[in-house]
Amino acid sequence: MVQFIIRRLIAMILTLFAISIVAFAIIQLPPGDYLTTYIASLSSTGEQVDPRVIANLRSQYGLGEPFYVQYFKWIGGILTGNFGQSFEWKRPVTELIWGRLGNSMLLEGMAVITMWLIALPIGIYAAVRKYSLGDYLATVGGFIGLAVPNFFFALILMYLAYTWFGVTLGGLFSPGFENARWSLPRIWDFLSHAWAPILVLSMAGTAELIRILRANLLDELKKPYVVTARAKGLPEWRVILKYPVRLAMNPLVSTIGWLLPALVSGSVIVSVVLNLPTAGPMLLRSLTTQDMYLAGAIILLLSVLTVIGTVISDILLALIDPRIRYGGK
Amino acid sequence: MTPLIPMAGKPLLSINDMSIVFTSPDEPDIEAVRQVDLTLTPGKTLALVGESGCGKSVTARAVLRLLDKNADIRTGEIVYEAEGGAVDVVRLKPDSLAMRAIRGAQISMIFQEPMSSLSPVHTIGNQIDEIIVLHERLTQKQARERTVSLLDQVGIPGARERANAYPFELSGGLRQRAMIAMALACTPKLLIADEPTTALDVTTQAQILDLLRQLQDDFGMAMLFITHDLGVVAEVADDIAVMYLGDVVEQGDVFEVFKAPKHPYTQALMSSVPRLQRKSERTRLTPIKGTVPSPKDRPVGCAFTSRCPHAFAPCPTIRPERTPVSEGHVARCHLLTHTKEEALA
Repeated sequence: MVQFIIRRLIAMILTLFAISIVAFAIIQLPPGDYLTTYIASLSSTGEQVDPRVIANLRSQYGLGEPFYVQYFKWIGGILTGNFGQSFEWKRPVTELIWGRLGNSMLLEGMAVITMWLIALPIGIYAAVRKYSLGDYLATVGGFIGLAVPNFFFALILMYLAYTWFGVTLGGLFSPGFENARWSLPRIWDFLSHAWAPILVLSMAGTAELIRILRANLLDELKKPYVVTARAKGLPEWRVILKYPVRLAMNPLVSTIGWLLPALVSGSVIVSVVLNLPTAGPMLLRSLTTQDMYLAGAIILLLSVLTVIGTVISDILLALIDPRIRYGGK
Repeated sequence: MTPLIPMAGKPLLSINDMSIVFTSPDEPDIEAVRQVDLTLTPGKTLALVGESGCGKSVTARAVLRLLDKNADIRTGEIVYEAEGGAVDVVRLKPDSLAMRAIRGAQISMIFQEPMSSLSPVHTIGNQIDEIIVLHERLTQKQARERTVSLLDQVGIPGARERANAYPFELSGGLRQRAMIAMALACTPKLLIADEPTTALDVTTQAQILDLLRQLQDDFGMAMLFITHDLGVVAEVADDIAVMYLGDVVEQGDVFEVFKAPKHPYTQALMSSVPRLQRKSERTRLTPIKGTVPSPKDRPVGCAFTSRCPHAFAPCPTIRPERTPVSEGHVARCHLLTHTKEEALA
């Protein structure tokens, strides 16, 4: 088991290294750099820019240097905790992103938990009572959940909340709590705002999870070990929860890892619609303005989270499935 | 373990006139088992023999009410002589308390595939402890002690460590031994073995058969042994029941039936078993002509009509009665009730 974890960790570090190169390359892909965008926006407003100032800035940020020099400058800074300076905000990237990333993780983590809490009982019910009324309702609901885009669901929710309850959904905190320290009232304020985005973000995932769980469980329910468990004299619900559900969950556990990136990219539009202070909108903005250190930091940190998530789900999977733990068949 | 001395002759379980129908929403019903009468006595083994799909396993599963939801026991009764009096298993609901109290504790079952019949993600010990805790109200610790001694009894070396092994860490033979230990965990009165050796190689097969015979002597339980291997029957069975397409066509004492099979199907089965002979003495095997018809096309009368070399007038339309041939040996065949001249006419 220890060996397994060590192997996974080494693979994780190599993956992260590769990701950092790719992330940096992607930021560099569009022609020009932040300064060209900057000059363009200045000249469009009619201001003249002194070429010497530009040259100064360029050498200060190392923008004229070859790709690998820039890359090592960047990654070297990150390893010492310095993510560089945001061109647009004129502040260190570190100051800007942690709060945003924290919000993202909190929201998406809660969305994942909500997904599982809703999908598990429904999926199990739909499989065990296959072709019952409940199963059909779960199927129809699942397809609707998959088919409706998240942002559209968010808009509907906002509309309904406004017309029925006169509540405006949006944001994660009331103005007074925005920059306050965490406290019980602030948690309450957060929860009273966060339920809507959590619901919206978890909807598609829940629908998918129900479908996958139902399909997996239907396969497992036909396996001979289920009959064996029944032949022992166990009550039906214990037979189902201890054996087939346990096995049907295995493939789902391994999906936790890649749920995170899907949620992050899926949540960008939702975050814009619901005006959420998460990492998604900031990433979008930094990419359009070629604010490369900010964009790079966000992409890298999201990748790190994803990779860590994958490693965690691998370890979880090994914990619940001895066949993986012992490298068996 | 003190051997339980069986009361000779008194049946433990009798299946009378049982028929099982499989229903499907878009196809006509299929009668998988037409009319089955079987009797199991303590300390004795009844072998249920027949080709694949003839209803052997369905019959066995019906006893524990483990059939799928689309299977319906239309007629008949399965009378189990429980300690508190006779119970008709057919009248019990499959998931009822009464049925679950019988499963595993009174009647238990061994399955064909020891790999897929054990959960791959639970240890052997966990899966055996569970049944002991369920029926015997022991603590987890006491149950584990019992499990270890059971595993020891079925000949698993290093039982205490093996209890913590997962099924995929054991060989096929050891897995089947673990399965047997699980089935015997609560000293059942009846053990149903559904082709327990089919998935094993021949040497392991012989060991498992020896083990089952020896455990039967120790525990004194009745055994319903399902197989399609006549060699296995000769080795373990006291009585034999031959099934063809849902009908029990012949049953009786195993020596009696092997020596003088009365039903043409049984006769054909016997002559299709290869024997060890010198090369010069070898003759070709005589296989049974034709193939098993689907239960949908089964003749109203004797199911074997379409393949029977002796079929005559009443066969396709009239179901033959159970005809006693000798002491405890019965067959369902018109040849036994009609004279030879009639048959040839």
